Amino acid sequence: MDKPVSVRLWSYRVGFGDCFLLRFAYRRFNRHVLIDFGTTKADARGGNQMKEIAEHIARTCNGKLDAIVATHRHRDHISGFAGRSWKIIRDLSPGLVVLPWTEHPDAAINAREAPDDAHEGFDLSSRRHVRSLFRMQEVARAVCEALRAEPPDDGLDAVGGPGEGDSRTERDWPGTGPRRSELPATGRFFSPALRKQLQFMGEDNLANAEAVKNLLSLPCEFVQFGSKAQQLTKLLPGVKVHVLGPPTLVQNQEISRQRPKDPDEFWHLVQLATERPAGAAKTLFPGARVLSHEAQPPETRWFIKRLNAERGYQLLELVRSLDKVLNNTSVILLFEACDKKLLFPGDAQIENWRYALCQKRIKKLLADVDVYKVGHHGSLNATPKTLWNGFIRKGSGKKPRRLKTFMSTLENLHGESVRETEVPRQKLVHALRTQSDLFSTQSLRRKEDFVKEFRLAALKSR
Amino acid sequence: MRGRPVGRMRKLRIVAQDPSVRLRGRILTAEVDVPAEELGPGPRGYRVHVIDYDASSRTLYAPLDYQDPSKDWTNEPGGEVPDDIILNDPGFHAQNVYALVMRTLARFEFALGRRVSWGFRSSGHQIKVAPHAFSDVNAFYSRRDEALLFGHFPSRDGSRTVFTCLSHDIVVHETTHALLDGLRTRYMEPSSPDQAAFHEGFADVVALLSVFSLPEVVQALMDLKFGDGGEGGTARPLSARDITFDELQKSVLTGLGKEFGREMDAIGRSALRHSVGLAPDAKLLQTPAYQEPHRRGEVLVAAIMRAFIKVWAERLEALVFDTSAKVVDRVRAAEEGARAADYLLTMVIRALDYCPPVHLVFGAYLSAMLTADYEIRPTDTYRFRHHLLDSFKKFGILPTTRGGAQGRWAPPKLRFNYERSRFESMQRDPDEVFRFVWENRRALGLADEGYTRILSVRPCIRVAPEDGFPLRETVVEVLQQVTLPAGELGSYEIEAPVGMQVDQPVMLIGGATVIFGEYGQVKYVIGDRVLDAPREEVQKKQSERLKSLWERGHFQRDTRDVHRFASIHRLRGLDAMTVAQEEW
Repeated sequence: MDKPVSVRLWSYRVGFGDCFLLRFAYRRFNRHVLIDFGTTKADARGGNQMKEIAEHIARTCNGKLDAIVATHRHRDHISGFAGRSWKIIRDLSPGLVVLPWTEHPDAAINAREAPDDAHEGFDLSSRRHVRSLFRMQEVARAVCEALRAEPPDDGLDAVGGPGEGDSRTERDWPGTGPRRSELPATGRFFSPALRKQLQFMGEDNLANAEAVKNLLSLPCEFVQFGSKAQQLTKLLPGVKVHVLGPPTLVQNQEISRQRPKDPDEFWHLVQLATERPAGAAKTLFPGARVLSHEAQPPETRWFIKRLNAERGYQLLELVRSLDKVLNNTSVILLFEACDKKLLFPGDAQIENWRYALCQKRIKKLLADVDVYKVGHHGSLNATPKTLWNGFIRKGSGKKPRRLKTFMSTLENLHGESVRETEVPRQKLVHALRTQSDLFSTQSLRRKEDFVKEFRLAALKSR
Repeated sequence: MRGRPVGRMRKLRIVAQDPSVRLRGRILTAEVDVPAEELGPGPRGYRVHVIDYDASSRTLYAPLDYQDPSKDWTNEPGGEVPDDIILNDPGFHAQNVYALVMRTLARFEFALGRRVSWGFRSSGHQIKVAPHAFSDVNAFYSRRDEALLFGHFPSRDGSRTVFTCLSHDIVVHETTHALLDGLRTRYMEPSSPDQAAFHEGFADVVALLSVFSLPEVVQALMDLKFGDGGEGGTARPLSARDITFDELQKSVLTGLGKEFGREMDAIGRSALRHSVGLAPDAKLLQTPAYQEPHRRGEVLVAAIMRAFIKVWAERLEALVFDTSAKVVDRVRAAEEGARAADYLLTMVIRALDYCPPVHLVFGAYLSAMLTADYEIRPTDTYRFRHHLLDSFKKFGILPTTRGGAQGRWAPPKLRFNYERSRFESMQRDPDEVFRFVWENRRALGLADEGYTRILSVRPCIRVAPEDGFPLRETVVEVLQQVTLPAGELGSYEIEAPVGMQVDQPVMLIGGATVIFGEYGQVKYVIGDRVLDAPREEVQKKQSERLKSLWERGHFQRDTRDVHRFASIHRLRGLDAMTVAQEEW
């Protein structure tokens, strides 16, 4: 049977996003797998890099891409599968697209009955889960629209949102009134800092309809924890592929002993985004007397300003929830080839990882991982401590066969160091740097250096 | 209503539970008494200011003005109000929240025998209430906004709007958060899993008992279960079979879950339904799922509501077997239920005065309830104390006492020096109290290493029902704190959590609630010392708290969000789990 003789990896600098190309080289042919291709915030040095990256991929795989793994539907993982860069990728005739089970087209429709198909645990509640998941993406759209409805920045606005960029605890807030810096300008909901965060997360969570449609137009394999990934395995002879996430709802319930979930579990989050634009006819009480902005009694103004600020904070909380649930639909793949183990978890966070990590067998399987693609651009909760502590190949620089880690990230976009939520999380980066051979796309400094190639594994010649 | 209110109380109409609860096709309402006052437009009174601003549509609705002659129903705001007004007039919504917040405040003041303040840093007196704050399946108390914020949202079928401000138990739940925050400010801070759970559990208990204390509601629940005899008909009386513990549990508690507030499920009310039906299990609190605050709080609710049904069933049984008819009139049964709920409501609120200022655990709250009730009513006439002890035990919660009889706090054994303090002044002056505390720091068990201060001094008067004489007490909260680097904890025999850096600053908190009697003598000292070398259990408890906080991520990152009720309620709605120990 054929088996690969070497494995190479190309790590692309896409700004804030992920793009990795794997080559499994066999004696007589090569197989190429593209894992994610997206960006939310192109690197300042980037230029028109998505097209350039697509062209580089095309050259590297010599005109034929065997498979695409789209770990989840966030824009920073799939935006490259739309527009001009998609044309280039499509011309590489990808033979297979691997997607999480939540992307199954049957699940996304408003069916009332469970489909009669072979998907384990793919019942009515799974379909509802998926449906409400996608409905959640409407939230992102509503948030982005709310941002657009704000008056333009006049430059006079103070910095800092309610609770953002501010490490004080709630009890330190002066009860006599908020400081100017903690509130949006008159007529606005959002301070610049809050707006920046909302915009970034809102846009990443917008439904990428075109990219999803493009991916689904190709032969697809939908996977969940424990899937055999038969089609992918068939394309990669001699490579063992383990699917470690995402778990199905049934699997999740096995471990968390959760109560039966609300069938429309994100329904109540969606309601938060229901905005009624100012001046719109559809108010709660059409006949009721309302007071104009100018007629607001002085004794109510302090409170109205506070309530507006609170609203902005709620929306941020909402997009964070949305971001998290989508991250947790990430496909987690472990490849075994040339005596090496390569782990690609997308943006999976602990809620996705939990099912895999509570099993001794899986923990053992993961212990001797050689290559780890750092989850979710190095955020604080996507490299579970249980996973990291279990890696036996991490250690000091002299350790033989030391763990290699790859991180695609861009600083100062996501979270805040003062709240210890910055991405990448510096504490994690320190651990990665001191205990593994870390490569970060941020180390590619020049404009033309948007990719770096690595030899991950090779069979010893006999 | 036009003109000045007469007397001390005023009658206002409220929605009895929420608008989905209907009897003979009409929304079930109730008339309640609230303290009378000169109201401004809002309503805006001496403790509550309703500001009807909707941040989702940026709309400020005109305030409800009882002097405005254009609204007929405000002429007699305690009278019947048509359903159309209840649903579609924002002015009625303003009245509903105003009445419920004031009623809850008055209930606390009655139980505690004194005025109760809000917990704002500004020491402000008027809480702001927004009945239609935003479009969101949430309602919460926000200390920093000095406000209660109620969301509204479309019903699942999209046919109408659901208003959280019209839900009796939600309004009372949020008001209770605000009142508890004023009474025990430190309960919102990180401590044991029990303390994290207490705010939610306690607010649920007060909300449920507040709903049950309306006979209209209890009777409606019975009518739903046993039928109301139809239009013009007579409802059949209850037989002995209908009023057993199991039957009442089914008809009232389960009925509450089935019939009431379905629309509010997403706001965590489904958890409320779950808690009232929770089967007793002494090991439940040890299971991992019940380390989560919102789940843990449900156990407190379940234990207290179980005792309530027990007492009610006993009282109804006595009525049946004392008469030859062997039946109980339904109105009488509902009144008994409402009375029992009202009594228990007083008891659970009064207990707060007998709780430690920090580090509350459920067992301590049980001891506080038993002691508070004993002080005012030495004979356990209603057998509430008996049933609470029993019910808590069934959920694995034992009273936290050292030598107290029947689970009550024990009086202090040590002698205090009263020579240098003036009791008259000690009833209001924190400096005078501090002087007493300083003179008696050893007897009070305060640590020399600690920074000590008086959090509150609250004199109160309660009337004992048995002899009609007032019970006078002064409740004082003393707080101690010591901040040490983790590396030094060992020298005080406190274990630092595994993995904590040695230079990590750790604040240890302790303190006591001191109850002074009528003649200025110390009756009880309730709480845990910050450090206590001779008593291993004090250090052990501090070690356990640190471990629990460490595991819940308190030292790892800014946990401010966790303290916001907005987040707590959303997590409750999602039944989310904490995974802080896996994070960086």
